[in-house]
Amino acid sequence: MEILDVPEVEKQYPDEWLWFEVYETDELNRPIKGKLLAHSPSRAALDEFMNKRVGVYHHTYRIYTGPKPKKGMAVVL
Amino acid sequence: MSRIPFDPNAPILLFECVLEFKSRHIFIMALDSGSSYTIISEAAATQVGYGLSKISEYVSFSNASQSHLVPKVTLNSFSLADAKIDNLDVLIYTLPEEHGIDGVIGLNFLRHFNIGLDFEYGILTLDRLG
Repeated sequence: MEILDVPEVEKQYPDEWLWFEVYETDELNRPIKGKLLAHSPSRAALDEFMNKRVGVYHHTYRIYTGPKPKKGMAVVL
Repeated sequence: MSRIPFDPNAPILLFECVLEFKSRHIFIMALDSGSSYTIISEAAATQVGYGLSKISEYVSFSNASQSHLVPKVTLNSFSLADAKIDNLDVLIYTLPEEHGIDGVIGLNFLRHFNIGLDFEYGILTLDRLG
């Protein structure tokens, strides 16, 4: 997979969990350039993928691209 | 002073946070001044290098509905933008998937700063104490 603009990739996978290897961040530590390692609508599926690769990647970024929290849901943390 | 943009209309205030232990990873976390500890998900803890089965220190904490006994670990550092705290204790607890986040930024991080929330312009300011 090629190195891509992270915010642009996020737009291509709505309502999914994404995991990137990070190559560049901005001054606020937000990822700018990276390689998409995995994506799934299921957090459990992505967790399983990530857990099998602990120690392989040393700078990664994970995000859910859907509404946070899910639409219609109120949150008390 | 750190100035960090956020969406003032969002139901929770979200920020990219950098967690460092054996390696360095970025996760989306919610600002929560009502949480005494910073909390990270099991997936985040595992990815930065903690073996969950080897953690021996546990802490009881309560949220709005119940109590939990959860592992406590110490990150080498925790950063929100360029605001960085070394050796920050965090609890490991996975929030419901519907939240869409990997943890919360709690008081044990926030109390190192004078904090400002500008809801007119959507700017969080963190001014380090001392």
